[in-house]
Amino acid sequence: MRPLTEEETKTMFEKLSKYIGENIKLLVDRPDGTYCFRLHKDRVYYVSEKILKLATNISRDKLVSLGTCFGKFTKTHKFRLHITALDFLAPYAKFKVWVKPGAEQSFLYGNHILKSGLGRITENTEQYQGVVVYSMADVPLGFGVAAKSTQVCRRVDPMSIVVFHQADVGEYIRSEETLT
Amino acid sequence: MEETKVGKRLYIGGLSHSISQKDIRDRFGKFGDVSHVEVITRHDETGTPLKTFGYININISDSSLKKCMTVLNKSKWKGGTLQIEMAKESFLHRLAQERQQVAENAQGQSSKHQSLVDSFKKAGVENFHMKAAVPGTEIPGHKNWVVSKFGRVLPVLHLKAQHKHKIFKYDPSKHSHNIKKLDSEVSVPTPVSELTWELQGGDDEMSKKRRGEFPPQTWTPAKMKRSSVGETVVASGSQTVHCGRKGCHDTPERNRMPSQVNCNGSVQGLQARNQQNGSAVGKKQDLALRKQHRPLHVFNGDTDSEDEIRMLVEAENACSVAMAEADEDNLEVVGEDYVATSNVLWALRVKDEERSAARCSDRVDEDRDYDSADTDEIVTRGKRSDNAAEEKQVKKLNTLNEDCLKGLLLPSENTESPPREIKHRRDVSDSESISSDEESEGDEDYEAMMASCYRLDLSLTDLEKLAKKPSESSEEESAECQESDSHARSAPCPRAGTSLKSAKKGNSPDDILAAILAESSSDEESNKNRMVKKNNKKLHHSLPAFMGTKSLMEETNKAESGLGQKVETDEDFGKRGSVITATLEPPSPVETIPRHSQRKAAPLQTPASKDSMLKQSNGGPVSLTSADPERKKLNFNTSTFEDDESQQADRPNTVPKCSGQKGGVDVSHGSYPSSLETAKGSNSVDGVGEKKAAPKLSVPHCELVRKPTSGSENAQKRQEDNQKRLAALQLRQKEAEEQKKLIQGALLHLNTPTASKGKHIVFESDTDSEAEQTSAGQTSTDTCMPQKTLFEEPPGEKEQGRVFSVKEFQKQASSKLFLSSEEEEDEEDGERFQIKPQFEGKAGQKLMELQSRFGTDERFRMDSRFLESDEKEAAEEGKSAFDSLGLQLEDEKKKNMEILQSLLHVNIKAAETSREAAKGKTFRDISALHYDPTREEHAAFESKSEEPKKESKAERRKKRMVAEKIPEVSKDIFYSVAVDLKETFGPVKDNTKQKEAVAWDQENGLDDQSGEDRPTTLELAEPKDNQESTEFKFSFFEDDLAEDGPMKDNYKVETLQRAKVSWHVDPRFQDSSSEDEDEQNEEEAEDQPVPIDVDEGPTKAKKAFFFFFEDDERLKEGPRMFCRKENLEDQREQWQEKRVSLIEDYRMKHKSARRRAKTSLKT
Repeated sequence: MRPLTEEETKTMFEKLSKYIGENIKLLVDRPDGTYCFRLHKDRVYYVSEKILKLATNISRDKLVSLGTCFGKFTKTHKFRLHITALDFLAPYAKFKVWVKPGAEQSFLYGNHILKSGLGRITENTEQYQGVVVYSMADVPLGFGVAAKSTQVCRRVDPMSIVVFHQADVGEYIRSEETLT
Repeated sequence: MEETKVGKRLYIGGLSHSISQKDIRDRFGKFGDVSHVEVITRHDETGTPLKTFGYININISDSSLKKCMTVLNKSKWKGGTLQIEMAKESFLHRLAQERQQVAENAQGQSSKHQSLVDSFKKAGVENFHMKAAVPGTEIPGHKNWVVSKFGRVLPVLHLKAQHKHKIFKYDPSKHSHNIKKLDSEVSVPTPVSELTWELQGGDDEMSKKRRGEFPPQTWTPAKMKRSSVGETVVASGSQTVHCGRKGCHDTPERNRMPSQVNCNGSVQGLQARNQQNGSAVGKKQDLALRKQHRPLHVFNGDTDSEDEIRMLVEAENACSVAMAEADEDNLEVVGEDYVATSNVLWALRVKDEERSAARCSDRVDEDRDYDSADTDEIVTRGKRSDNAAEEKQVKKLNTLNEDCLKGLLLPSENTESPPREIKHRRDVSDSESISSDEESEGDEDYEAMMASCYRLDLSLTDLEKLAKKPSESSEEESAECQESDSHARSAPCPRAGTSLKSAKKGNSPDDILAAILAESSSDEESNKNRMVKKNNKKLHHSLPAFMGTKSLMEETNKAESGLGQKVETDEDFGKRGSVITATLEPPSPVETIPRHSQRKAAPLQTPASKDSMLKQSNGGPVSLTSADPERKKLNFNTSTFEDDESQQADRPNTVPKCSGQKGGVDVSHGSYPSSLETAKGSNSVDGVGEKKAAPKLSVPHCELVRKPTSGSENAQKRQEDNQKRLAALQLRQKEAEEQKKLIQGALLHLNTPTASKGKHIVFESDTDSEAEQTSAGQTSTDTCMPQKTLFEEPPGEKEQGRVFSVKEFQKQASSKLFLSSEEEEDEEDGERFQIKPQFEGKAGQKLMELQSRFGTDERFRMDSRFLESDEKEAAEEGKSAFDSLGLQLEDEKKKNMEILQSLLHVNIKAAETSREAAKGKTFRDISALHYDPTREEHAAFESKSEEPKKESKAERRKKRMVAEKIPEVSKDIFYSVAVDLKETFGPVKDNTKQKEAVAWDQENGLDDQSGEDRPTTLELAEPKDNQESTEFKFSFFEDDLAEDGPMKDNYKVETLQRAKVSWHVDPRFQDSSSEDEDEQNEEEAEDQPVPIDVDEGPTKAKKAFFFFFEDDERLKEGPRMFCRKENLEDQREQWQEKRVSLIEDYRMKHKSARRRAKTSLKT
């Protein structure tokens, strides 16, 4: 467990900013306490100061997880977002996509979102913009990347992919063992 | 002797190399006929023959052969020893012989076969077939041939088994059961031209494809996909059916018409679309379509023709287009500010909505749907849900309620005019609330409450329906209620209905909030409070719907202003329960106390005193209604605690008037339209109540109300209304102010004494309530007495019953409260845990730890000697470590923010400010926002009209002055640019030359100065001249120069000086370049005299023209300067000549000057 290096922080923030833009500052600078990012076993955890102090008592190899896992650094030092970060990112998401009830399951099984399953989308969403996927009942379901901009989405045929799947809450079940 | 000659082939070896065939023929011709001679000579590589031998074919008899052999063998002939042997047959000969043999053999075999067949024929076998023969019978004459199946004649085989000596006899008649008929027919040989494959086949697509004929490509992969989806949908739907039916439907399918296909395709498209939409309706449709579709479905069949498929594709394409359009319509694009509703709430809402919808339908069916607008009732129901024990009591009360209901229902008959109908509606809603209470004993739970909250919107239409029903049903009891009816009628309220509606609709959030709060608070309620609730329920029954919502609204306001849950619930109870008793109380400093006591008092009135209860309940709402609008009107909604108190204090004063309403006179109270309504509603209730409890009611009312009026004064009412309204308004205002003062005073007291009292919890309240219950039989006036006694210990009650009530006090007195208690405790505990002197401080602590390690054993007691001196520091270090952690985190945060900033390129505000802002954030009900002049923060909202006005006046004056003063023209200088800018900036090169020329002049001047030591006057004069020349070089009109004067014209015509442009170097500075300097030096050395006058003359003449023309002097000047015009020698001569003259000149001048000086001195 160690704080992120500058480079790592940059990488992570770049990734996060795709989803929540400048709202990252609300995560970094929280009014309700000091929160920070910690790297542990290549994973980035968003930890409150309190838990951080508690976690210092646990040896590194025994420490499974602390705080909330935001994602992990790959071997190539890219940052990959985990579904566990959804709770923190969803409220600040700038671009959202709502999935029709019929396509919900498909998305939750790890599939991309097709145009036919697209219920609603934030306007001015650009291509390859990170989006948070919601159900029509405004339940956040996961992350994705807009495969097409909003304008293109209108025109495109129903079977084409609109949002690339990145993470979904189905992973809590599907990849339970890897989520920490 | 005649011997047969046999052709033989002999080998003859050992021949000489030079032997010829003829020699051999001659030599062997003696013995026989030599037919063929062959001589072979072997050579080595050089060509020399090694050996020669030959073969001869000879027809020879055996004897002659023998003779020949003996004679010629090993005989010497021509230098070689003959060696004769019999040779093998020649290759060719043998071949010919073999062929001949084969031909002979074939002849023999065929004849054998023929003979066999012939012999068979004799035995009756035709073509190896014997008709009508039992299998197994032997062919006569042929031992090894038997008749087997089908009359065939087959040979019996004798097979030798492998590795065995046994010979196995195979009788085909016994084994060949499964041997089929062997067709001996030879297939007709096909000609070579027809040997290539030809695929026969029909017109179907597959066969065409096999043949290599493909239909034109029409679909894109994506569409293929879609179509497949559609098909799979259908297929999955009707697969089983297809399997079963395929066989039977095969033929009709083949005969299918294209139109059918088309419709089929469209159906599919529809299905696909439906599937994609995933709507329930779509599914249904899907099902129907599938049913329709089954017999037609043949897409998997192999008989699909190309045309059909093509048509299908077309249809699907069309569908997809339509689908795309539809989808486009379906696709919702949302702005970035779209706010997603919170999930939990949503789920709740959906559930509730569903439930409420269901409930609504149910209730509509039943006649007795209750009005959802009556949120008070909802609240109470929510509270009631907690305790099932009270239901019994409720039942008891219900008898009473039913009476009440009757009374309420009555006014609703005989209604024709619209305004009245509205009234009825309201009445009905009241009655409904009661009825719902009656019926909802069993199922009152939180969900119900929530559901009813959401039904607000629906309730209006329902209401109308319901309004009619009770009115019809209640015709029976017409006699009693005429009085109340008249009340209802007399009330003039055109806007009642609308306001009612608006209130109902608008208050829903508040209602929800209230309901939730009520629910949460209800958990905390004690038994006593439950009692209160029961009573309140009763009260609520008679409450008009509108009132309830209103009170709730104000509750929420209060809640927002920080009074907390307690206030709401308390007020809810307190208002209603306490009205009558409150009137009797003097406005004491301890205002909250009566209220709570009243709340207690209310429950005391058990079913035994139903009538009095009813009376109370009547009084309650009335006072409320009057109080609520008043509060609103006066804008008394200060968020402080005093507001609450003031309301409390208001009540006693308002009650008399409200009770006066009974007579119908006081409807005027409601200067506020809504209050009017409510008042009216309560009036009707009152009317009923009056009848029921006429004798008892009259007593308190007479006491309380100074002017009890009869119900028959309705006629005058309207006239009086307006006057009363005005009067009431003024009165209220006065009262309000008074109350405010009183309360402020009261609060001052409250801060100190109640706080101290507040911390004591009194556990006797139960007994108190019991005592109260004993006195329940008393009338309301009587109950006032015990209440007064209770006033002495109100804070105890508060603490005991509701924890949340403490909140109220905490705000003001919390610090003291807790401080004092802690102090006390400290005093007690301090003695116990006094630290021994030797263990004081940090070192002491350590010592103690050390000591405790070895127990109390004296021997191992550790003294202070064992203490290490640096322990203190260590402890401090630990502390500092913690601090450093915080600091590190801060640093980290800062760093993160920096990174973020660099990433986003956005200025992110400092951490501190946002934190503070967030701290300041508290929940605020936007609907309850209002301007409060007493608050300092709200001063910001005041528009300071006076100050700016003054300022503006001053400003205006100033402006006026300025305006008077200034007919002045601005001092800016405007340049009329007569020069083409393009020209000025364009030909830079030419101009530079010119500049150089100028520079040259200048230099010359300077050079002259330096070279000749000119008088200073000259020196000063010359550069000026130069400057002028440079300045006016670009001026278009030369005469402007003369006119140019600041006084003369506002518009100054000036030349555009290139020097002003940064990239154009001032011509005057150009001479600083090194080259020029070099030249200068040269010239200085040469002392070349350049007449200035001459130089300046032409330039001045040409100045007028900005543009260059042919043979421009200026253009010639430049180059001229770079090259010498004359020889150096000449120049020197000239110079020397000149010099003489110049010197003379100088001397002359000098002399004259001296002379002049002398003369001047003399003079």
